Amino acid sequence: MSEEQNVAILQELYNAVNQRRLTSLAAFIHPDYRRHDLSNALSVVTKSGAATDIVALLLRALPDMCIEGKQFVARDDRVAVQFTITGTHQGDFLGTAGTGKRVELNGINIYRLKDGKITETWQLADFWGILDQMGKE
Amino acid sequence: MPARQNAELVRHYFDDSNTVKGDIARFRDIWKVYFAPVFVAHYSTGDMDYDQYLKYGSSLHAAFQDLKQTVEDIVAQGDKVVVRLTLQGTHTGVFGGINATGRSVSIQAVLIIRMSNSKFVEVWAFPNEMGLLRQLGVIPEGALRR
Repeated sequence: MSEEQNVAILQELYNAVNQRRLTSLAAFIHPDYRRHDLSNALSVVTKSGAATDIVALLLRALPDMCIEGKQFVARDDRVAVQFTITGTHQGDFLGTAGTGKRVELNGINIYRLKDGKITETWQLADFWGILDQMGKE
Repeated sequence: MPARQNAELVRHYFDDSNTVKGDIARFRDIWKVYFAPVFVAHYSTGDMDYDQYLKYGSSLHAAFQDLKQTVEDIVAQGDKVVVRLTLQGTHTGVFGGINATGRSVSIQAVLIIRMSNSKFVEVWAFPNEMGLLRQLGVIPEGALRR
C-alpha cells in the first residue's frame, strides 16, 4: 500500500465513524492490532483496548460526535493524524456525568498499517482539556 | 528540503537539547540554530510566538535540569516532521506555577513540526499534560477512575 492509500483508508475510517457505519469499523482493524495509550487515560475504562470499544465509549459520552482529521503526515507504513473530536457531552465520560456542554477533544494518533488495515496505534489526546470543558472539580 | 533531512534536523535538535543540563544560556544558543524568528507553537493553552515558546522551553529545562528527551519515532513527509518523544526528568524547580516536588517523571509527547529552509516555523504540541500532573502529585493517580 502506498502512503496515499494509507491516508485514504484513515479518511474512510473517520467517514465511517461520522456516518455511523459502525458495523464496518472492525474491517479496518488488523487481527494483530496493538494499541499504545500514551496518556493512560482510556486504558482505565476499556477492558480490551479494542479500537471499536473506544468509538463506543466516545459515542456514549458524545452521541452526536464528529471526528475531523486536520493534518495527515504519512511515511512508509505509518500515518500521523492530528484530529479534533467535537460533540455534546450527554453521557458519562471517564466518570464525569453528562453536562449538556459542547466540548472538543484535540489529539494526535500515529497509525501503522499493514495490508490495508490498522495494526498499531499510538494515541495522545488532551484529556485534561476536555475534562476542563466538562467542568471537572 | 527533503523530508529525510528535516527528520535528521529534528533528531539533532533533541540530541543537542539533551546536553543542556539546566544551562539556560546554552539552551538559548541551541534554540537559535533551529527555530525561525517568525514562529508559532500551538498548545492546548493557546498559541505561543518565538519569545513565548523560548521562555516556556527555558522554564522546562530550568525546572527539570536533568531533562532527557528520547525520540521514539519520526514520521516525516513534505515540510512536516511528526516526532514521538519520551521526556524524563526530576522536578527540582518551579514549573507552570508548581513548586519543586523532587519527583521523577516520565511522560510521552507527540509534536508536529513544520519546517521551512531548515528552520522550525510551526509546532503543534500534544504533551501528556494529565500524566505529568498525576506524576507530580497535583492530581491524584487514578483520579478519573470510577
